[in-house]
Amino acid sequence: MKLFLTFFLAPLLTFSQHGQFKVSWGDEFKSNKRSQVAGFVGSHSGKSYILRYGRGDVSIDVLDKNLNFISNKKLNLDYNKKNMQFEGIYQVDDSLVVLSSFSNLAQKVNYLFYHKMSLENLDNVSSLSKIAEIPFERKNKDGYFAYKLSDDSSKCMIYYALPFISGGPEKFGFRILDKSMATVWHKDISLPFENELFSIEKFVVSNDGDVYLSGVESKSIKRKSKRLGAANYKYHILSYINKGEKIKDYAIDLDDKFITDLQFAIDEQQNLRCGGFYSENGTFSIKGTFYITIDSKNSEIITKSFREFDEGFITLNWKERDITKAKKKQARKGTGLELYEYDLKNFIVSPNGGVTLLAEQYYVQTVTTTSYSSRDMMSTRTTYHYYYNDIIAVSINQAGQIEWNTKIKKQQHSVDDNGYFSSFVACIVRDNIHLIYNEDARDFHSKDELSTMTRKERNNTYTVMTSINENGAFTKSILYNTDKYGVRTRPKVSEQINENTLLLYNKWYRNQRFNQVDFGG
Amino acid sequence: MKVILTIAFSLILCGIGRSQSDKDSIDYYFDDNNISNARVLIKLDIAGALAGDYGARIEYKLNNAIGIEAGLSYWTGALLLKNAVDYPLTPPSKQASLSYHFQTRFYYTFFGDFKAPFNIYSALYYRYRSVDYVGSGLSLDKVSSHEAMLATGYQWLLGKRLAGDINFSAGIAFFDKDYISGSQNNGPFISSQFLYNIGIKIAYRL
Repeated sequence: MKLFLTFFLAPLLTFSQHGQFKVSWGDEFKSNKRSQVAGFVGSHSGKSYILRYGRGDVSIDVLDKNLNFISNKKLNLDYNKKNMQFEGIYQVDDSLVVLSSFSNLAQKVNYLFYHKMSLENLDNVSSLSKIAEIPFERKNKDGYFAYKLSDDSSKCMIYYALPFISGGPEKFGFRILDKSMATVWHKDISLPFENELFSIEKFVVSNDGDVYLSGVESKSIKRKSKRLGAANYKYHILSYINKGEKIKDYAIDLDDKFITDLQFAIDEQQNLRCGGFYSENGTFSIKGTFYITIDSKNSEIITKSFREFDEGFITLNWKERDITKAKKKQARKGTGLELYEYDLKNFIVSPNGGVTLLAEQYYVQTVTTTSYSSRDMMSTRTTYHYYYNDIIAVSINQAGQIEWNTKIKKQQHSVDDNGYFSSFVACIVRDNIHLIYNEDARDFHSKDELSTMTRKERNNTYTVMTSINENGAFTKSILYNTDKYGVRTRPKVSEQINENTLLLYNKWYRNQRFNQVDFGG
Repeated sequence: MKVILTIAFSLILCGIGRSQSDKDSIDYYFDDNNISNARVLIKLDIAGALAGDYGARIEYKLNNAIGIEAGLSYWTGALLLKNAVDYPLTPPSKQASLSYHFQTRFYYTFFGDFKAPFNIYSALYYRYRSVDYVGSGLSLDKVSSHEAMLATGYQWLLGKRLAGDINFSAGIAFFDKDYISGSQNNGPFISSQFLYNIGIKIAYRL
């Protein structure tokens, strides 16, 4: 009978089905409390591989197909007792490529290496090989490495930032590697911008090995300073195509408007699609959205548009008191209403030529309190309050028109934890966007519902899912009650691992569990 | 002449070949004169010498997070006794004596990409000093000071083998006075006082 119960009830306990998606849970396991999951690395033969940072080491967690923890393997980052710096890891077919660097102080060269690990047993299957190097003068200015994979993982771009020289030009280099780690092309670049006045924000490498990067050119070091007349910075998108032979600089300019956030992607026709938010007040608020498409063959702008959010959308979910206060401020300063402190998190390119932008309100408040003890001893304490609030979704069509925009109410506040369990993870399945985040029962339920609940139920925390359809309409539902599972979801290190599956990492002190949401084929 | 030229040319080719093969080997990239896995540092105390404490230390790196430093110094100053005796002391008859230093250092491995012994650290610092005193008409044989301090500092590479070490420590000194002849209050006496120390050292990596 016990066996019968085990076989038939166990799957029910770890597997719940809600309409068009299924949530399946792995068993709980414990890990060193000082270690932190950093993200999903890859999957192979039903196993999933998770990157974990420990205190001074890096390791890989292996999960079976039911998301149960199998093993943890520490990465060997030593060579002849010399310690290398971990730089990254990614999957290529049935192996993992580990990137590591060694800053040779005698030679004054920072070297980047790779070695391959088998996904079968996580053993090293290749010896260390050098990929790139950065010569430097001083150890604290020895440059840095970064990498980026193309969408189909066929190309890997290694970026190396050449040492910073005050007043000199911005200098860096690329090395594009194929799956066999052979160099497709490489180029050292010196931009016509002073390095203190240019900061690189994002890279994209296409499946063909072309490289695009976005950066901000400032007219003065204080880019974030209040606007005086026109914006004192300009966004650039630089493209390096045909193995770096064809170089193009697209300056993204919206006349007298502040671009507060910009993201871009390369579509299937290899056109550049770029969008983001702009402001008329400054860099901390947004008034509307812009969208630009550029034909990468002839570098011509196909579409350029910007649209202002209407007042109803800006003040949606605001209290009446806040609206009155904002309008008074607007009248006093002669400025328009804007959305405050939104970060552009996702730039979703749709096959029909449009894009959807997802942004979240995020800000930090620093509170310093001074208290006196009975002996008149003064003590000061500073606390950091992390706020991750409403999410806005804006769909822009091919012509640059806002098709729809929606604002999802969310309130997340935590203290001195960097918003460990806050923020959201997005999962794009066909035409729907699913947003998963934590929410207190008190925020989820209406007052009437809360009045019928017990105190314990009111103190629950849910992981909720808000699904936005292709028309911008959304529904919100409880994915699961985290208190029931004894762990809490960490959206920041959760991610969509294939077209239909979202892998979620859950933790509470040393207890950890993975679960996945399967949205079906 | 032909023979000499042939030999010289062959040697040059061998040299080029060797340097090329060195660069092809992965060992070449890690050849840093053992800077990255330095375990032993010999140090001279610069700030101590300015204050009349001439000494040297040796630091041994146990792992990437912990190092142990020990050393001796020749102390030529007087101990600053706060409540030592209830009568005035004449200047010490003998001021110079050996001091013993011992530190356990905890390096912040999460800071930057440096590891011990070149990083920010906190340390537990113990120092033992003793000075012979003579009172007016009395004899105060020996005053010893056991000093326990908490230190924080930074050690960094100045060159291939040279390094700098700067730290600040603060703690309590416990004085023990073993015998005061002729005094009505015969010992042993124990007193304590707050003290601080600034350390600036120059180090040589072995």
